[in-house]
Amino acid sequence: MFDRALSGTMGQRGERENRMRKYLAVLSTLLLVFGSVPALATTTASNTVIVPITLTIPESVSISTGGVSQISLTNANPQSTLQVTTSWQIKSGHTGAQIFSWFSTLPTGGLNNTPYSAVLFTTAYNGGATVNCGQPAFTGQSFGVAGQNCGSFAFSQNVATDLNDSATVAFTLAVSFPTNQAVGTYGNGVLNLLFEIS
Amino acid sequence: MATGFLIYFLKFLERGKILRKGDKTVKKFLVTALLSLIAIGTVNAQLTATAQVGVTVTVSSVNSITLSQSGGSLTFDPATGQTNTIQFNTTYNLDGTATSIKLYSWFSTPAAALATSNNNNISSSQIAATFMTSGVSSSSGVPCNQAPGIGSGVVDGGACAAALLNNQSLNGGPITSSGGGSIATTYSLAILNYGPSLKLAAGAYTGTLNVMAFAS
Repeated sequence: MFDRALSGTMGQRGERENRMRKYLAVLSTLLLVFGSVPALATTTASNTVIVPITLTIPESVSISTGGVSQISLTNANPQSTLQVTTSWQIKSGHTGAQIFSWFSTLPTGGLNNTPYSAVLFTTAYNGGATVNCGQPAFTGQSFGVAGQNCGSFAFSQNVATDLNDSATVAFTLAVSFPTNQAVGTYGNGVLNLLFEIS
Repeated sequence: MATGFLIYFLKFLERGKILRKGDKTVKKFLVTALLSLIAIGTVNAQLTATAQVGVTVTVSSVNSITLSQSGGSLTFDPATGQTNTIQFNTTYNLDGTATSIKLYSWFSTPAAALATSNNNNISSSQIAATFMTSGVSSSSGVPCNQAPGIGSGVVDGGACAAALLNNQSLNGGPITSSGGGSIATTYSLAILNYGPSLKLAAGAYTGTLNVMAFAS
């Protein structure tokens, strides 16, 4: 009975020791794993430097005839069409875009060495209505020659919001050969095309 | 004790007939002179009795990084879409636990990194930083839509490529102090694919670039 009691006491103590050993083993493992990790580096931040940035893009518009610098009209080919390319980079606030055309110098020559009549020329844009080149001064414009102005073309693009774009327009110049116009070659005429965004 | 000595001294002078009994003027003079000497001696005794006090002094120097900039503002050339080059200077004093120092630059509003008064915007993803820290790192062409995820005000989605300024391997050991010098990083911006295809409106675009250095 004494032996049994003794062995019971011994058994409880052994169990406690085993538990303690396991606990120590776990603790040692934790220390090995986490204790060996070096101290985490903290982040050090500097002051903030603020740098102003600017980009100034000036307004610009362009018009091009694709390299065409001469138009020759004959009885056999009384009209010529060329592609006019326009582009624009503008600020907000504009309301319209137009192409204007006019003769600053009428072709001159023929038997009588006289200018070819402006009203015998017509212009059309994108195959639309023809307008003869005997128009009065363009309303509200400083350019053009009254009596030698041709038609103008208003773009459908809304330039109030379409601030950077390009568009190509088919421009047709035609001439008529009435019998009362002296025959011959008429040269050195100058036709102007102007693109305006207002 | 001093008074007793004084009386004894005066009587000694009278007995030796060095001083006459009725000579009050000489007595007064001697008394005054002797009292002065005693007083001086007392002052000297106070000075030598001063106690010593120890004061504990503690100096705490924390990690610090300072960033400065030279070259003024960044101005885009409308013909090329590139800015002038400026320089950032980074000085640091660290405890050696940081393994790298990086320079972060970012736009606060990524969708409108640059904007006109009419709300025509250029997003940060259309802008790239070009930088170079001699012998350490350089970069160009990376859009400023990075998300470094470091917080401290750096806006994810509006950050340019981070510029490595220093790390342990380059430094040959722990990063501690810039030693009175500074790390110079040249820096400029470029609009990616700048040209007609961007369809930028004309106008005066303005923006702000934020720049900060981090040690971690």
